[in-house]
Amino acid sequence: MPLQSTLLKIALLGTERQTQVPPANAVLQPYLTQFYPDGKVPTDSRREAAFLGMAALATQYQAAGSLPATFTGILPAPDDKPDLPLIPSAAEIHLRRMLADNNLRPLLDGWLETVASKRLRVAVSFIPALMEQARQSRVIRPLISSVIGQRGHWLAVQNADWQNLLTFAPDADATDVSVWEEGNPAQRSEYLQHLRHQQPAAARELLQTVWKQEAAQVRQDLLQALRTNLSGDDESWLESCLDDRSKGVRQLAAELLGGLPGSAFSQRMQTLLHSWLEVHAKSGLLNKLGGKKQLQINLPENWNKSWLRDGIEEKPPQGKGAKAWWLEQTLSFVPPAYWTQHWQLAPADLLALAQDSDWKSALLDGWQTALLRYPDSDWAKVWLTRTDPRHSPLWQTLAPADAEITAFDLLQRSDSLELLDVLTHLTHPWDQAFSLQVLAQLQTRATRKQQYVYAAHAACRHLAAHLDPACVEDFACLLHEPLQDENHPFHRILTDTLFTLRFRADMLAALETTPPKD
Amino acid sequence: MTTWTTAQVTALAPDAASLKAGEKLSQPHQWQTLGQADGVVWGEIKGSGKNPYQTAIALAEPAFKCSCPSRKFPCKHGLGLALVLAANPDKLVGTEPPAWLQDWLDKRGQRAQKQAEKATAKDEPVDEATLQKRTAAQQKRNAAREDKVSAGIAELQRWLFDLIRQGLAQQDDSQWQRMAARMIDAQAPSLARRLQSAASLRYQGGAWQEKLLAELGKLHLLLEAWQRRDHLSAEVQADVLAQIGFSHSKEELLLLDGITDHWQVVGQRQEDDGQMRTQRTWLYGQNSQRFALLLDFAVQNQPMALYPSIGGMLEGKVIYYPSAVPLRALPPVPPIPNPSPARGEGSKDSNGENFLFPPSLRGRVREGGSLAANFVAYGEALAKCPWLGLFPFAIANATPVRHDNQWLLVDTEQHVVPLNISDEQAWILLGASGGHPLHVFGEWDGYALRICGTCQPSGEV
Repeated sequence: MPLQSTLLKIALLGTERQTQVPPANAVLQPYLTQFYPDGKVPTDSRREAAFLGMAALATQYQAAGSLPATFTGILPAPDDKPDLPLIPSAAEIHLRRMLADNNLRPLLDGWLETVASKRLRVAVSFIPALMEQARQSRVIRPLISSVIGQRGHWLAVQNADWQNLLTFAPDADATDVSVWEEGNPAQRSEYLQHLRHQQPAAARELLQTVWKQEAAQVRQDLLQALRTNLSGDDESWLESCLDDRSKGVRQLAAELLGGLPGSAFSQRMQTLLHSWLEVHAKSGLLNKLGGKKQLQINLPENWNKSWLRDGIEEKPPQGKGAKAWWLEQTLSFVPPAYWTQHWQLAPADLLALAQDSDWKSALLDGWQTALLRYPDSDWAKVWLTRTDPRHSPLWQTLAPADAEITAFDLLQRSDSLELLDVLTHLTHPWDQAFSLQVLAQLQTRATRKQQYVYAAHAACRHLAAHLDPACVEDFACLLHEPLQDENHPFHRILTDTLFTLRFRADMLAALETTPPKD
Repeated sequence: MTTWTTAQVTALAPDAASLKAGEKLSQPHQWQTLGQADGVVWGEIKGSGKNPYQTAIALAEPAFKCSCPSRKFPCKHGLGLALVLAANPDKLVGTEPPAWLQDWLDKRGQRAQKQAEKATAKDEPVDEATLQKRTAAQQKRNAAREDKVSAGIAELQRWLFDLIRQGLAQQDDSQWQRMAARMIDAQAPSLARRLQSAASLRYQGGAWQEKLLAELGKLHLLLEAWQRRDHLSAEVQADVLAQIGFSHSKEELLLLDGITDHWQVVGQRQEDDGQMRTQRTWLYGQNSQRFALLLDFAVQNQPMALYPSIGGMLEGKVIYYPSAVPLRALPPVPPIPNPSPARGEGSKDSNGENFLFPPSLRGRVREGGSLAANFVAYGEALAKCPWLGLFPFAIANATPVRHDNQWLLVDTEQHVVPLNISDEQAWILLGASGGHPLHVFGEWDGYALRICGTCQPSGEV
């Protein structure tokens, strides 16, 4: 538009530098003549008036006559798939508050879990906020992938930022091979996991067909699927994976082979360790009579190159001796339960032997790693107390029921306030009986009116998110005194906890109301 | 049964903190009693005081009452109760209004009566001399203001000429702010706002220089129009006065003719500039087939006027502010005072298909719902009033789409307009559409569309 651009140029430079009457088309020409009657730029203030009048005219002319542009792109294919039912409208306020309030945020995971298990979805208006949560936390991505429903997945197809955050579609056909061929890494892992559950051999073979073309990290992630339904059928291929280019893959293959007691790999580890470790009666008459035993350790002086293939490295990390490092690594590939059986010794006895040994730290570290790889609740219960149970990684190896028993045992032994922190490792919804036991323990500690209440903060926040909601009124009842007494050191924290508990009970109850029909 | 939506309650909250506090009281079991009858809901809740607080809402106005000492209005208890009404109306089980509630209702009744009496008293005829004196005084005040405005406009025009003589490349911000302040002094507040928004254009990027030149052209036109106002038609004069900042008194407006109709709420937006909240509610008359814009303002803790949510219906006479393109209007006045006004009808309609666009508007949407038709209507309106602000667009079967990182709306003729929308809202809009066409109601500013309401065969945003 020459008129518009000429006007803009004049406007930017100023009319004092204007030399020519702007050009106009046939329609605007008569008006232009009115503004510039003699076809020249006036020299007094009529110059500015004429220019601004012309600008106003051109703007209006263009605005009043403008037409919408024509779309040249491609519209997304509409979403015609059926969707999950929506959550009850009474439940929306809880979601809104959890997203807005950091104190309530920890309850989000439990809420999402309930919504996902009920096969419900949230309204579209929550999707951007939930995707922001998914961006920040990897663990809730599968839950969010479920609760956003089909429509959420349809949206994510158009949003590159969201696409990689989703793990699977709620109604995805688990056998739809296009997920495997076209999905993002998380979705492919999900697909392989699913297949592995149904047909272990087919999953392994599928992985073998793409094995050569995948990157190291992807190979390692996909190989995790073999943890499910691991069997002797997998051995020969896993054995070949010990020669993989990637160290991560080699380590994982060794770990998986260690979980197969009859594998050649396991035999190699056991043979090695039998030659290094020996349990026999302790010397001295008294010891012999008392049945005291000793763990004798004979380690080789030289590194054997053949160990490398089995994932045992020569050079120790800083702070460890080379021989101790070989021992620790080898131990970590044998399930601890093997030793209980082999030596007919209880985990506690073995722990005592290890603690008496010169190679104490190698033994303890090796067995702890083995325990994390090959969980065993008998061992874990004992080993949790070896170090500070508040920070032990072994909690994750315990099944919920075992974890509850162990935690309760620990809490009964001492009424230290800090010890409540062990509860933070119990991330499942607590059983009712256990919930009541915990409340009793909390009451005992609150009655002592310790002043360092902050030590209980983390535990109380965690409790509010995991206690059985049926026990909310028990909480109010058992802790009635500190809840009423404003000067009680526990008053504040318990009031906050009760508030969160009630909110949680409400939010779960709201999800129980009859869902809308559509 | 009369219900509110959570979104409506959110709009009522004086500030975010109150809303948050209100949400904490939104669980029915927190209330000792809850009940509703005859368009009033009530409840009692334990607070920090000895006795439970007594909270009630008269839904029609709406009016809040609470015995708590909070100065916020409505207080958190009122909001909590409103949220109970929105999410769990079945929990309002009481049917017998308690004594304290009856007291309040009685007092309100008396107050309303007194106000009505006062209003009649004002209208009572006074003797001729007083009347003349009043008129003379009014005329004198008007003349003084016109002089002041004329002086201000002359100054603004000189400044504008200087500005354009030196070129826009030279401008600096403080000049604009100073001039805006001068316009406040000259009792031309709308001109001041116009200058401020023109000055901020350069911070918005895009083709701001073109937009600024367009703004200056319109401003020049306005100043010229003021100086030649006696030669303009009454409607255009009204527009010029409104653009400068002359306001209409409600009494004057009430003397004008109105249009009685069934008005459906087709769109709503709220804005908050930190000092004042503005609510724009668009109505569409089912018989008159006209749009009407209700503007409401609330400062600080004031509650915002409450209308039915989108799709709801208001019945009564709408009086437009005089203009060549009448859009802004006073809220409909119901023909006969009605204890439960049209509000209830809105929720009844929401069960019907396509409730957002009533049959009449649907007809309009079908014939004139293309973007091209909306552009034509906009062009015609612009020809009548060059200073046109936001213009209502009703677009049928339009699909939101993200294209080259821009949010667009495409109609069935493949015409397209850009959307003025936040990313978050845009994703929600796209999600609501699911790639299917929506009926969209929005405000067109000449550059982009702001969405005020959408509808598919069921539901809204």
